[in-house]
Formats: sequence, structure tokens, C-alpha cells
Amino acid sequence: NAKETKLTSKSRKVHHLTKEEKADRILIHKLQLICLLHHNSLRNHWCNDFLLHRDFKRVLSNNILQELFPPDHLSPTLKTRKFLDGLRHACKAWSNSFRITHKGLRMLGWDEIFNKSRLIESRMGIEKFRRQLTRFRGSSDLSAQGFCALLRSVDVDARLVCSLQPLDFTSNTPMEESAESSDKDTSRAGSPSSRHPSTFHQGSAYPIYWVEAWDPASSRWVSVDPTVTQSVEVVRGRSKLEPALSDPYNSLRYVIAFERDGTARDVTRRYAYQYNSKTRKKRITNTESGAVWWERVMRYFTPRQLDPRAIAEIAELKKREASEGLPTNIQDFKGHPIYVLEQHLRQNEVLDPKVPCGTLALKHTKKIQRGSFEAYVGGKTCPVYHRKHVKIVRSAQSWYRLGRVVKAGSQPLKHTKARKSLSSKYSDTEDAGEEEANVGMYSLDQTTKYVPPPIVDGKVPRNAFRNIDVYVPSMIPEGGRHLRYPNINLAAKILGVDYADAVCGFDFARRKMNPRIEGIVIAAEFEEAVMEVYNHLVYEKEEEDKKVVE
Amino acid sequence: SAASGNEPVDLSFLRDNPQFQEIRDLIRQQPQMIEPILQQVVASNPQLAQLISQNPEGFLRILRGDGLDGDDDDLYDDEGEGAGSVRIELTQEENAAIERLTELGFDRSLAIEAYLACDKNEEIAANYLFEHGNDGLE
Repeated sequence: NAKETKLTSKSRKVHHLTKEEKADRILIHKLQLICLLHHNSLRNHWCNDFLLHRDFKRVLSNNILQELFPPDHLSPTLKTRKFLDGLRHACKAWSNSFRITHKGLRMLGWDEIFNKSRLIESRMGIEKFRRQLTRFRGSSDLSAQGFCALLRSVDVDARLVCSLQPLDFTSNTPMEESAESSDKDTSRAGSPSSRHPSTFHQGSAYPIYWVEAWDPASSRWVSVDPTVTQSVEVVRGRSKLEPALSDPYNSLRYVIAFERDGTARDVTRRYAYQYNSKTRKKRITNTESGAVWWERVMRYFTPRQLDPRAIAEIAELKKREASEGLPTNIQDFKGHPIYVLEQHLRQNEVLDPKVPCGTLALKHTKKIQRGSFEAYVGGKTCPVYHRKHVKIVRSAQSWYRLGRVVKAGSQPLKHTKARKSLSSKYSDTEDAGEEEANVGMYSLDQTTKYVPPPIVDGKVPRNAFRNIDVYVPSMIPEGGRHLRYPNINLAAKILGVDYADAVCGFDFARRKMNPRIEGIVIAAEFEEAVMEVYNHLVYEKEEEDKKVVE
Repeated sequence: SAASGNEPVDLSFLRDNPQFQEIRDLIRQQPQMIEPILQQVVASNPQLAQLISQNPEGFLRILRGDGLDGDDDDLYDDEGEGAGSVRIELTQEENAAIERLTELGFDRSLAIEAYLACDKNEEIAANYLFEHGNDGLE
């Protein structure tokens, strides 16, 4: 019996989502990112508030101001030291006067969305924002926002930095759909999903909001957290502001820095120490289409013209990412943007050249090092390759579908057991499938653009099935036109013009691949005539239809 | 499947919708309400949710609305059309890579987008374009 209960409790934990549920979670994640960006762009704007700045002018002492703006005759190093001191003292002055009454935003679990006992602050507009800040009380988030406004009020170039906390789309936690189910939460104190729902949720020991201040002497952004860690740092190694990867309330995935002028940059790489190994997996950018999407979203906040400072920062963040070491376990190599293991290569991927750039020590391996000598003893090791050496390969046939042909004399980089295609599986001839096995695969640079034979004397060249392949526009022969209208072949027939049906792709139907014919290809000189006849036919048909209705 | 959404749907129809206005106010003033609202929108009106995710710039523009809580919004120097465009400096090498991508038969802007999103890996960008690049044409 005990065994049985153990089983059921286990099966409750491992919850599998349907494909639709997963897609919904990604969709919600995306929408939430947009909403949070908008919310923070407003908060950032409020940090410029003139009235607030007027009230804040007296908060910082003259001593602090002198540190923040060191005299010109000092050396850059000394200036930087002064500036950092100034930030430290400003941070202290702020946290001494601001009373944090509660925590602010945090990441929710999917089971907490409709939890009635979770903290929901009352609405805040600009007036309330001003009022709370000038009274120096409010949430820890508000404290960081106020500190940003404070620095801006004395003309320190300060960014409002927020670590966006959208719901985790990689989480499988089941959702508590109905509102009434959340009432039970209090009684199930022992269950793993119940968290502390008081206004002081235990929260994270790391901030969601902080500030970056520009040090002109060293040309660097200095991170200042005036609320939780009260730290001032120029991030080099591991930042003090990154929470543990297992933190349930604060998951650092999207750190966005908003400038005074309303533009913003994704600076996650500065704060995520294991960006490629770990953080990446929880970002929407982990898929190519997600990366394109995020690029579009962030472009909305990117200035039209990047100034040298911005370019330098982008380069710095890139460098930081590139200098991140190899992952330490097989799992983290999966989908890694820089490194790859051979075992994770897809069917259509090949290493070229196949030169390892590192080694992954597997279980029970000891690394010994004597001077420059390095060796692994005990267990097994596994070679690591650069992803930039991964080439995508396709069969000659699928290259042709993209309008490309394999160059003569190319040796396939890989052979593959072709998937038993549906057509061969159900075709009458048994050996059709065998012929397709062991297909050679070629990379892009082994192919060249397919140049179709030209139209000569109005005659359209055809394939073995008396059609013409037009999978991509470049496959239309020189001197030819692709007219993509339904039943346009009738017009060509009437005129007695040579035409070929255009095959634009394939559809699956009746367990077979069927060519999808869309329009015809004809010689360019007949285009006008064919279109004229076609338009007339369409007109006649319309008239006829009208008559039928009458 | 229209993830690349080359022709984003105009979302300005939302502007006069009272439910949208309420959502917009909550995003501004009560961010802790975002999760339940989005969950409800996705459950009750999945098409709208899709439309928004396919046109994030358009949605952001409408969220911004006219003026920011009464304040002037001189910090955004432009309205509408050009708001999303950026000038990107490319090295010669990067330019050549994008040139090669366009030679594969893709739009230059699409090629640049894919190239940047794929972390300037030409091979992956080419593959991405082959997989998704023609979505908008069909």
C-alpha cells in the first residue's frame, strides 16, 4: 500500500503538458515580456519626473556631489575611485532614508496566477509614485526606481535596470485554473506548491530592480543596488546581483537597462554568469524564431543610431559571452550557441572541418595538471567542437526544392538512411524504398544556384512529367513568366500558346506526395495576350454566375 | 506557423476597445495583474493573443497611446512608421555574409534580421531563411 501512495504522489509531481498547453505558455511568456517592457518603460519615464527631481535635489550632501563629480585635474583612476565612493555614499544615504514596506514584483509559478492570497499592490499612477517617493516609503522596487530618479536629479547618467520576471515557459507546474481552488491553498501547507503568501513573501535575497550609473572617467557602467544587497560593483566576473538558478521567486533571464531617453538594451549577459550554459535555455531566444522575435521587440527600444558608447557596450557584452567557458555537463551542451558535441548533431548536420576545440571530462575523470601538462585519467572524455564548424547538409533532391543543384564532382559530406518516405512505403514496388536509402548529403557551399534551361522560340522546357518545377521564383526560366492564377491554362490553350503547368511544391494526400500545381509558365511575349483572354474568361464566368443566381 | 510574420496585422482596432483600455491601465498601474489577465486573454481569445505576439511593435505603440499619463512624451522622437528602425554598422565581412544570404533569394532586410538573430552565424541564418524565409511569400 505504501508503495502505491508513493507512486501516485510521484505521478502528481511529474506533470506532462500537451503540445497546446506548451504553446500557450510560450505565448503567455511572450505577451508578458511585451507588457513588462511597457510597464518598465513607463516607470523609467517617471524617473525623469521634474517635480520629483526638484524635491530630490536636497537629498544628497555636497560631499557626495563632489565625489560624484570629481574635479578635472585628478587622474582617471582617482576620478573613478571618487565616483564609486560617491555612489556608495549616495546608496547609503538613500537606503537610510527610504523605508521599504514590502517586496515588489517577483516571478510567479503557474499555480499561483489566481492565488487570491498573493500580494497585489493597489494601482499606482504618477501622482502616487511621486507622493510615495517624496515620503521615502514603498516597495523595494519603488526604492530602486527612486534611487534612479535621485541620481538623474543631480545629472548622473543613470539607467533603470529591471530583471523581467515573466512566467517560466519551461516549467511544467500545472495551472490552478479555477479561482476557487486557490482557497484550499492554506490547508495544504505541506504540499510543494504552497508558498508563503503573506505580503512579506519570503522573496529573493536579490533585487528585481537596480541602477546602472555611467562613470565617464573609466567609460564603464557601474551597477548599484540600493535595496537588497546594497552593493556597488563594476561587473567583471560573477555579479553580486545574480540570484541562484534555483531561486523560485527571482529568475534572471532578461535584464533590461532603460536609459534616460527611453531607449533600452538587453544587458542580461553582464549579469548572467552562465549565460550560454544555463540562462539561455529559459529565454525565448533559445529557438531561432524566438530570437528573431526578441530582436524585433528590442528593436522598438533601440535608438536609431548607435553611439560609440552603445557600440562599445554591445562589443563588451559579446566578448563576455564568448569568454564563457565550456559547459561542464553533457546536458548543457545541447543547443549551446558556441560549442557542440558530436552526439547532439542532427541528422542534417555535419562537422567540417572535424577539429575538436576542447574536451569534456565525463564521470569519474580526474584532471591532472603539472605546469603546462594537462591530462585526464580514470574515466572517459569526450571531444568538444565549435558550432561554427557545423554545416547543414541536404540531399541533392531537397537542395533542388530550394532552387539549388549540387556542383559536379562534389563528394557527399555525409550519407543518410533516408526516412522511408510515404510514397515508397505505400507504393506497389517494394524496391522503391531501397533505392532511396543511403542518400548523399551536401552542404550549401557544395551547391550552386539552379539555372533552368531558357525558353527558346516560345517553347517552355519541361521535366519528365511534362511540367515545370518552380519551387522558388529563381527557377522560372529566362524569358519566361509564371502566371499564378487558377485555371489560367485554359487561356493558354485557347490561344494555342505553349505552356507548362508550374509545380510549386508537394501536398500529402491519399498517402502520396502529390505535386501542387499553381498556374503556368509561358514565354514572356505571350503574357499580355494570355492575361487578356484570361480576364475575359473570368468576366464571362462572373456574368454566367450572376445569371444562375437570377 | 507565421512566426516570422512579415505582414503584421494592424492592431489599432484595439484602441477604442474598453477591455483593452482596462488592460492597458493595469499594465501601467498594477503590474501584478498582468499574469491573470494574459492567462484569460489566451484562454478566451487565442486569436487576439496570436495577433499581438506577431506584431509586438504595433502592440507596444498602442499601449503607449497618446501621451504618458498626461506627461509630454518628447522622449520618443518619432511616431509610427519609422519607430522601429535602427542603423546598424556592419563590418565588411558581415556585409559580405549578408550579401551572400540575399543571393540565396531572400530580402535584404529579412537576411539582416536572420543574420543578427542567429548571432551572425551565416550557416544557421541561411538554414533559418530556407526554413522560414518564404513564409511571407505564400
